[in-house]
Amino acid sequence: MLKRMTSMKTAITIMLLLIVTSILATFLPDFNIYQTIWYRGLLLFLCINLLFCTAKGLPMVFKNLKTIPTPNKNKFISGKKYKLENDKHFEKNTRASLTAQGYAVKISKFEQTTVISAHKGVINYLAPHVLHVALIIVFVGALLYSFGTTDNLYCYVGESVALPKEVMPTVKMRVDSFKTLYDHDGSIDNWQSKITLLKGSTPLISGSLKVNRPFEYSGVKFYQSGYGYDQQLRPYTILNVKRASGGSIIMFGLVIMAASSLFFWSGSYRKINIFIHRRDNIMQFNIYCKHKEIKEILTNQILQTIKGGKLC
Amino acid sequence: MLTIQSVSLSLSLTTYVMSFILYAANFFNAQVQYKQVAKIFVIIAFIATSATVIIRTFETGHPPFSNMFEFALAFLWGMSLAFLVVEFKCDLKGLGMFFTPLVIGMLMWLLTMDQGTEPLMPALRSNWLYIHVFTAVIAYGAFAVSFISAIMYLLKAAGFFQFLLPALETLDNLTYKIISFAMPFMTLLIITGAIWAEEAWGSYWSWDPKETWSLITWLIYIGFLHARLIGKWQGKKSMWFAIIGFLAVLFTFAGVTYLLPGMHSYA
Repeated sequence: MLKRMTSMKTAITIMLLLIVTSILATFLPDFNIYQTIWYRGLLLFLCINLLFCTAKGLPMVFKNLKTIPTPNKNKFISGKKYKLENDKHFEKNTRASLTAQGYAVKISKFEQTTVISAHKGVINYLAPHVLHVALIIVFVGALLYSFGTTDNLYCYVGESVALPKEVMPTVKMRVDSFKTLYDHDGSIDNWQSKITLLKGSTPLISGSLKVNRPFEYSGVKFYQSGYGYDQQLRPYTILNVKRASGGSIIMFGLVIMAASSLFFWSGSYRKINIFIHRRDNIMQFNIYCKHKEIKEILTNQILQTIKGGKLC
Repeated sequence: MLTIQSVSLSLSLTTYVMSFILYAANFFNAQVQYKQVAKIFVIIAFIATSATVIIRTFETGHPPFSNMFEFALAFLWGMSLAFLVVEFKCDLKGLGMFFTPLVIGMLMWLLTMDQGTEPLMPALRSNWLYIHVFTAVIAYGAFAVSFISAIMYLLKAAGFFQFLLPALETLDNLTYKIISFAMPFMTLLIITGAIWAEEAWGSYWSWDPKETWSLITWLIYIGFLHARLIGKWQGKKSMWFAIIGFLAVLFTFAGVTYLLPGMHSYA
């Protein structure tokens, strides 16, 4: 059961279900599918799957990065064997050339075998895992954020309204001015409201807000959301007021998500393990890299170091 | 100004049609010279498209990001750029012949659209607009090329143009590479959109149809990337993800605007 829940196939299946239901939801807006328990359930299920996959995978990720393969009781690993002319020479050259190419190189000596283990592109290797963790952070933030309260305040210029109790109790908002800002060519640039928050009759703070420039005071955000005129043509402004925790968690998650997205463009991860069996002067190697072309290039490079490499 | 814009757009259209004919001649006759001339036309077409973008920017005082015509122009530019890069980097047989009709169709649609200019509405007057639309242009442009390479894969797998199309592995590899390159842009597109939405509307996510469709598109491509990690899903199945993914891109781009009004209704 647990295995199935944490499998990639399940993840893809949930994603397919989400795709289908989301498509339905956009065409049937009256049904408000996004609010239904089963749509939210699908999102939650995807999040749980992601959480399990990440938790299961992360220890392996670090283990793979750290591990240096140990030769199995000095026996040869399976695969091709190459005869070396001089094992010390080869070790020195390989180390120098790999270091010059930016690899992190580790050399471990065992009883009869020397293991050169080198890797490069760790950032690329970590990218999907960091992205997964970031997504979980965003999900958690979004869950908290969804418990926030929001309301629209309609207020005439010069008058004041009480903020909703859940947003900020006993505080009133006075609208000092509202105006439409124009460009030099006469097109509308923005709408601006100037407000003052009051506790009783004592002003707490004054500020201004525009579309794309919300005003923030002690965890409460004010957004310019609309305006209008009543029958006597008196102008009023509509401000959206919001208090929600989790916003900073979402931002944090989104920033990590953005950073890890950029990680994907860094050079792909490659790991080279070279085994030198000192007694017989024989070399073997294996390469891990997702890209076949890079793998081929690296193979040729290593074979060149041993000058063609006599196969034994 | 409108006439210069029409001239440069018509020049793009003519050169793309010429390159399509030459690419087709090269595809069926394997004459190298045809392809070389086709590539010259593709460069001219890209320059003409870029010129249209620049002319439009000078004319309106902002990058072409304010209405459907301008978004379509930006999308076209992204497609031209993505194709140019892939064509010169990979030089894949047949890609030009299959890709140019897509750009030609896009250009014809552009030429029939209302090309009037409008001032940028207040909600769009934010620095986020530039990065948000730029990521979309690059991602969508690249997805367009991956869509064509996936179609070529499926054509070959179904037995069409057996000896003319590149090897399945090459097409599979190219599709994967382009999507892996474009996906971070797509992710950044959604992230910048969410951050901007919070600033402008007071919520990171509002289930606006355009938002939902961008999520659907993102999930499809995520599906593509993950499906490749499962043995059975490689090859044909994953190519279908690439094709449906681009159809979702097109729907997010144009379909939502015309069929599903919402907060993104300016485009």
